[in-house]
Amino acid sequence: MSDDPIDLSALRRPSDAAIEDRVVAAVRRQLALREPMAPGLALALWAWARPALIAAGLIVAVAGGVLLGAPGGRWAAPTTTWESVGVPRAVARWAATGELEPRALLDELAGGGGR
Amino acid sequence: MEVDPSDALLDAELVARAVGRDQAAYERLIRRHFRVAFSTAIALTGSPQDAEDVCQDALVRAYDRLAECRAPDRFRAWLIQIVRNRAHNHRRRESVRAATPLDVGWESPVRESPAHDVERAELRTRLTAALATLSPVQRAVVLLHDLEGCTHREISAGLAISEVMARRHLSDARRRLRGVLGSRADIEPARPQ
Repeated sequence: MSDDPIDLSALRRPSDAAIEDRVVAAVRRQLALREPMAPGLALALWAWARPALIAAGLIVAVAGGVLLGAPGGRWAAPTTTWESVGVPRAVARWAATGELEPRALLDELAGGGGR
Repeated sequence: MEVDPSDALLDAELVARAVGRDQAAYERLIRRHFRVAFSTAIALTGSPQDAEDVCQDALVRAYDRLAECRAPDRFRAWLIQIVRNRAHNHRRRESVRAATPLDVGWESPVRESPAHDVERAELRTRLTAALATLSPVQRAVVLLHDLEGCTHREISAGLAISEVMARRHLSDARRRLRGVLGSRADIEPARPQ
């Protein structure tokens, strides 16, 4: 007898169904939040965002062209260690050769480039 | 109670649909096995409120990992495993937060009127108190086997113990329950005449 099953059915309560409904509803809500976006909503969002994205693309293209198309300008990439830490080319040449070129230094400081 | 083969097929079919993000199929599946999940959770947490949280957490996680269910026809055992893991995590968190005694009772937070069935309500109280004297694993094994009709194979897979240990836990749990409850006729299974 000691290894016969025990009748535990008295543990079942009418409230069990309510618990099940509550948990299943909560799970359903959580899963619904992960549903992929409805196609209509995605199209509406795209229509709203498209002008802003096009404008941003134009700005990047124009600004990039200006920056990249000015090899000797103020924004040209540094070619020496001195330039990369912000020392003007004329000053660097002065330090290297001992010859000061005031005109070139002034030009460079004024933004005209030192090449 | 062995799972009927056609039922097992249906489980596999529902799992396949749910893997394809069919939430209605998943809801059918979890409603079918909810009681098993809840019994596992309540056995391991000792509290109906915690069991609800654990079940919810486990059922969402099971949905996320459904593609990893290698034997969809044995979904029930796989679900028990997930509930068990979530219940362990929950207990670990709770033990860090506050040392809550496990035997906090089996009673549902939703009160029911015992007027029509006083005897049953009294038996439930006694059973609840007796179950609280068992270890969580013993409690899970006896509930899954004697209340939910799970097989030893499902129990051992779900609770990550050997079938031999599942049988031993069941035997120990029954002996202990009978010791606490005494020789009550209403806990013995109905015998064929």
